[in-house]
This record gives sequence, C-alpha cells and structure tokens, in this order.
Amino acid sequence: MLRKLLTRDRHLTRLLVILAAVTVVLSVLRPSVFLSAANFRSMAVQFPELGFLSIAAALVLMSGGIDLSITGTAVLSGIVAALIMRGTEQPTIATIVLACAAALCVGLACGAVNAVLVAKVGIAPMLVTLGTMNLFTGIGIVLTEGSAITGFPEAFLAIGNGLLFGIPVPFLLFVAAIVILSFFLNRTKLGYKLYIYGSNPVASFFSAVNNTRVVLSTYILSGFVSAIAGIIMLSRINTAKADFGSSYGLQALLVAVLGGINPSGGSGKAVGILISIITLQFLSSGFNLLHVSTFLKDLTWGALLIFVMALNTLEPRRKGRGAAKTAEEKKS
Amino acid sequence: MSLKKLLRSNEFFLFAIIAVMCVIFGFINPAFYSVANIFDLLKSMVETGVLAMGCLVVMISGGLDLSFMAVAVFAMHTVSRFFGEYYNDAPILLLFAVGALIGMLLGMFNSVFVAKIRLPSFIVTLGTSNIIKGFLLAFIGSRQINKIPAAMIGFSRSNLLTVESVSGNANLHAGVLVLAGAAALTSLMLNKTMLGRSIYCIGGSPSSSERVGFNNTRILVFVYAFAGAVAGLVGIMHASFQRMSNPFDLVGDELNVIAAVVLGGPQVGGGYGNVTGTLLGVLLITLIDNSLVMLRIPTFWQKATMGVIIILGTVAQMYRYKKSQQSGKEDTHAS
Repeated sequence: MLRKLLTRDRHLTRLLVILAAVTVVLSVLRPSVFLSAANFRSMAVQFPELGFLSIAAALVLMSGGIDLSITGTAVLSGIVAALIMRGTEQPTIATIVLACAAALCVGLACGAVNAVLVAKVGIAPMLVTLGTMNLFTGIGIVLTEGSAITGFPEAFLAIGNGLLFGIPVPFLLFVAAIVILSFFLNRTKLGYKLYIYGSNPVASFFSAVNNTRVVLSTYILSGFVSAIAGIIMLSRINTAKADFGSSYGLQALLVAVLGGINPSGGSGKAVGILISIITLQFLSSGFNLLHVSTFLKDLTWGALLIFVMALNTLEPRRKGRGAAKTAEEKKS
Repeated sequence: MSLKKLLRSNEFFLFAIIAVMCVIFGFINPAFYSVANIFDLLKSMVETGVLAMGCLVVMISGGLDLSFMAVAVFAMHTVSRFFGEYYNDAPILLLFAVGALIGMLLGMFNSVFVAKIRLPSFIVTLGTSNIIKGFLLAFIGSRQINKIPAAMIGFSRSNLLTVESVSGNANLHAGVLVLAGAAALTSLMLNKTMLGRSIYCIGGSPSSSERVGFNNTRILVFVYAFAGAVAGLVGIMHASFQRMSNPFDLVGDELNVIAAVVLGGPQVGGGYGNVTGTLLGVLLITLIDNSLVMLRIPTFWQKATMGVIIILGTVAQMYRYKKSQQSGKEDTHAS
C-alpha cells in the first residue's frame, strides 16, 4: 500500500524525503533542543495560521484560479471579531461565539464577492482578487482607522494559545481541517467536481457539471477558511491590525504549490499541504536553532519551491522523450 | 484609428475616469491644479511607471513577474553598499548602468526556469523573489545604509526646471526624463521591432509563435532580462529619492504596480497591452495615492479606494469586451 502510494505520487515522495532529511540533520546537530517537547510545541503554535491560509489558497488553485485576497479576508474577519469583543462591556462566552460567528460570516461574504466577480462577471481570478485584496484590507484599515486593537477575553485567547492534552489547540484545529479537506476532496461530490473542473472546464461543462456553481462554492469556501485563519491569528497575537500578516499571502501560495497543488488546476492532495508546511516550519526553526541568519529562511523556501517544481516538470518530460524515442526505434 | 474605435478603447475609458477625477479634485481643492502639485504627481509616477514598463512586457508575453521588487531592492542595496564604501564619487550613469546590469542578470536567472524549464512564471518569480531577497539580507546586508554614493544624492537634487510661484518654487525632477525615456523605448521596441512583435506573438500563442519561426526561448530570456534591468534601474532611483538604502523597502508593493499595469488593459494570458494604457493606469493609481491627502480624506481610505477602482476598472473592461464580442457577432450576421 505504502509502496503503491510512493510510486504513484513522486512529488509527495520527494517532499517526504526532504522532510526526513531535514529532521535527521537537525536531530543530529541539535538533538537536545530540536527533539524537545517545548520546541515541537512552539512550532505547532506557529504554523497553523499560515496552514489555514494555505488551504484557502490551495482550494482556489485546484480550480485553476488564484486567490490573492486571502490575507485581506483573514484580517478583515479578525478585525470584525475584535470590534465586537471590544464593543461589549463585559464580554461573555456568548459574545465570543457571536464574534467568531460574525468573523466567519465576513469570510463567507468576502468569498462571495470574489465568487460572483469570477464566476458571474467572468473576470480573471488574479485581477479580481488583486482588487478585493486591496478592498478587504482597505475596509479593515477604515474600520480600525489604521490603529491596532488589543485586549481580548481570556477564553478567546485560548483558541490560539491554549493546550488540549498538552497539544496546542491551533495545531489540533489544523489537523482536523486537513482531515476534513481530504474527506471533502475525495469523498464528496463537490470535491470531485472541483478536480474535474480544475483539470478541464470544458470537459466538466459537457459532463453536466454546473461550472458556475463549482467556482462559486470554491471561492466562498476559501473565504470561510481564511476567516478561520483570521480568528486564530487574532487570538494568538491578541491584536488586530489591518497590515498584519500581509506577507502571508504569497507564502500561502508557496506552501500550497510546494505541497503538490497543481497551479494550473485539477490535482493536489490535502496531505501534501501538511507535509509541505511542516517541512518549511522545520527549516525555519532549524535555522533559528543553528543560529544561522534567519534571512536564509526566505532563500531556502524559494529555492525549495523552484527545485521541487523543476524536478516535477523535468522528469515526466525526460520520460516522455524516452518513450517517444523507443516508439521511433520500434518504427524503424 | 477611427473615432469610434478610439472612443471604445480602454485607453479612452481610463482617460475619461482620470479626467473626471481631476475635475472633481480641482473643484474640491483648487491647489490640485497648481504647478507644484502637478510636478509632484509626475515625480511620484516615476518609480511605479518605470517598473510598470518591465511588468507590461512580461504580461504581454503571457507571464507574470512577482520578483521585480526583490530585484530592485537587490540592485539598490548592493550598489549603495559597494559603491558607497569603495567608490563614493562614481558618476550617476555608471551607477545606473551597474544597477541595470545586476537587474538584468537576476532577470536572466528567472528566465532559466521560465524559458528553459518552462515552469509557470508566477511560481518561478514567487520562488526567486524569496531567493533574491533572502540572499541580499543574509549575505549583502540587512542594515539601512545612509552613506550612499554622492552622485545618487546629487540625482535626488537635480531638477529639470523650476517654476517660481507665490507659495515657493515648484521643481520638476529629472527622474521624469527616465520615465519618459523608458516609456518611449518600450513603446518603440514593442511596436516597431520584430522582437517586440514576437513578444505579442508568444503571449497570444506560444506554439504558433514557434511555428512561425520565432525562437521562443531566446525571446523569453530577453523579456525577463528586460524586466530585471528596468527593476535594477528603479532600485538606484529609489535609493536616490530616499537618500538612503533600506533593504526592507519596496518588497511587498509588487501588487500595486501589477494593478497599475492591469488597469492599463493587458489581459491575463498575454498578447495584449500597450505603453499608453499602462501609463494611464500608473497615473490613475498615483492620483489616488497622492490626492486623498489634498482632498482632506483620511489616508486610511486609500487602500479601500484603490480596491474599488481596480474592481470597477476590470468590471468595466469585461463589460465592454462582452459588448464588443456581441456587436462583432451582429456584424457578421449582417454581412
């Protein structure tokens, strides 16, 4: 089974090899620190927010589109939740639930704006989300008048900082999200249609798939997932500000593509995102532990992305050429 | 171009929006039409405008470059650091040349993956922008440099012409010449040379361009080298305007330049776009950026306004495109 899986998906195999190599190197060089529970706990708190954004980015990439507005959506949802919690005198659990629900609704609404512009008006996803990225962040700036909002109830902060059975809550949420995403992609009709639409919209149209509806749902779902990232981010750093996390936008795309999501649509696995983000987190923590310049993080992330993509493209081409050659030889 | 065609063009539409905005702005604050403000606006257009030229050429070829800001910062910081330390009185032309050369090499680094290995350009440039910026910060320097070459500071003070007025002198900065030169050169290259036409051809259909006999790889190498060189040039200008070199500048504002180019008309997928449209797009974005303060609108409305304009602009483009498709169909029916 494992063998079948490994030969079927070379991209995932490569990622696993890289992850294993990074783990081994770090365990050998810094065994006492890297393998400590504290290190793992701190890593598990750091990456889930980027992880959720990567899921949001991945969903849209699978449909063959691109979503640049995910950070805008996340930040705006966070700000709305923050305003609700700061607006009430004595925030109770009910207020927190209300705030989170409102944030999720904002996410859905942001997703819906993208969805309508892409699916109904027919503008290229990159242009739409370039505009809405500015719009959503802009509304966030207007709502906060450019300043930061801080100080939220303890119960809310638990979402981003709490531990459950010794495991950070955001990590548990992220793993749950990956499981749900995997189920969604493999076992639901919409997930299946998303794959078909992503690999060939014309074919999916003639297979009686309602293309418009698939695109609409994808962007709305992406907005929803971004909002979850926004809530976790707000809770972890206890501050809402419109320009927080703006660098996450392109990073999320990087994680998704590195995780094997085909940027032209149609393929990709939930597990890939998980492995990809864990690899990147290990790398950046590793640089910290080894006291190497943290700026090398950017360099390795970029290099890894291009390296893996180049391998993916070069290999089938070489194989393809080989196949063509043997066919020619047979002919002659 | 017939009048009807002109009225339907994207450039005219942009021009109309800009004209309406100017009338409204001038109505609210007459100082908008002052020579000082117009000169200031022109100076603000320089960086975005020159970057947009590189971005435009890449978009016409059917790609998308996300790395130009990283390239600009790399050229800026490297030149500021080494010339600042070892050859402080280098002439400005040499600095520009070295900046453009560094940019060109980095652009060619992009093109290895885009043109040779044929990876999607936005993924490649997403990766290389991380590599370039990481390399810069880790190995060349992550601290702000105040001691930049003297010629750069000289350039920041060089004015093309000075108009005296009641409220002090209004200066037109020499950087405007760089923008004008870059725009003229790009326009000439795109419209009058075989190379330029082949870039449109690749953007329209890479396989037909190959069949016609163009060497796609070589053309794409040129496209990314050009975008890189232009970005390197802007890097030097940025340090001059700021009178220092901060390696954390610029990167992160890529999407603003891309938005300006996109407003100017090229469609994602390539084959369309021109210099006039791009310049109008840059003007529109700069107008919004610069004028909100003059209109006494709090600056935190800036980003939201920008978003609305981009969305409205693209919706209008789409609407007119669909309409032209329809009228095209009617024409064929009539004949």
